[in-house]
Amino acid sequence: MLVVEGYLAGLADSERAVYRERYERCRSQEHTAQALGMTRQNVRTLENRLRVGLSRALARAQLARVASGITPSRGPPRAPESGETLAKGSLP
Amino acid sequence: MNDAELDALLARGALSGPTRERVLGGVLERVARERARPGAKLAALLMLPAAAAAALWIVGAQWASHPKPADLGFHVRGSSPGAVRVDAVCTGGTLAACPRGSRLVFHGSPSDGPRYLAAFADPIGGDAVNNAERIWYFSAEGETPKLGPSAVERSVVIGPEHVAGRYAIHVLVSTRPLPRAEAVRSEGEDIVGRESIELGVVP
Repeated sequence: MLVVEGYLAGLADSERAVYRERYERCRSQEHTAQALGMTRQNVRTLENRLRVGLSRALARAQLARVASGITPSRGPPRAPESGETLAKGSLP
Repeated sequence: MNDAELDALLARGALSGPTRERVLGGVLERVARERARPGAKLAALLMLPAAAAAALWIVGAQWASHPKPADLGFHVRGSSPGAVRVDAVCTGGTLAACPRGSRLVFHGSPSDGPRYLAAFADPIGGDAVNNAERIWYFSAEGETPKLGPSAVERSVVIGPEHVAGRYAIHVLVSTRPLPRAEAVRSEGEDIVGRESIELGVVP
């Protein structure tokens, strides 16, 4: 959800306006277009841009996690315990 | 990740416009499919006399000339089996938050005989709706939609007479057109169905 929050915080004004009408106020495309003085096609385009943008933000976040070597299945890096040897190549 | 999942994330758990339309689209598609079944069509053709078919055609043409909702937020209200059912939807939002300027669409299910619709809205909560008064949609003094063998839809505009706030919409189905006084009393053998629907009007 942090990714979603971050993505929403960076929306352009027109996207934010459509987001507010469509996703917060649950309004129809027609009513959104009337309220914002846009065509319905504009609303549809901006709505689609919201989805594509979020999809990219999620993909980037996932990529960033992989790149940093932190994945949910592996957990955070830890120091070797007594008697444990470090795998080859993992030394700093 | 598909559009529905992205919409759910964007709405952060709340119901969004796209999700509402997607759900409704599915319902309408299913209803249309059921109506289009060949067996149902044949049975309807065999049962309907020619005169009734002609009358239906005329009534259907009249309904077709009325604007249809671009998107429907169906709220099916419970009623006893066999009773005439009337639903209402707001085209610009939900029944809980229906923006002024939207249309309120009444959808009457088919009935086995001629039935008439009466409907009016009463403000709820007194002070919550400042100076709001009863609003009449259908009555014998004005327009009274007639229900018959096929489903009908009739819409009204949520105009400036609707002060922002909550309303209780009273819908009555009767065997004859009901004058306002009788509709308000809501008593008598002529009344075969009644629904109460809560509506929230927003600016």
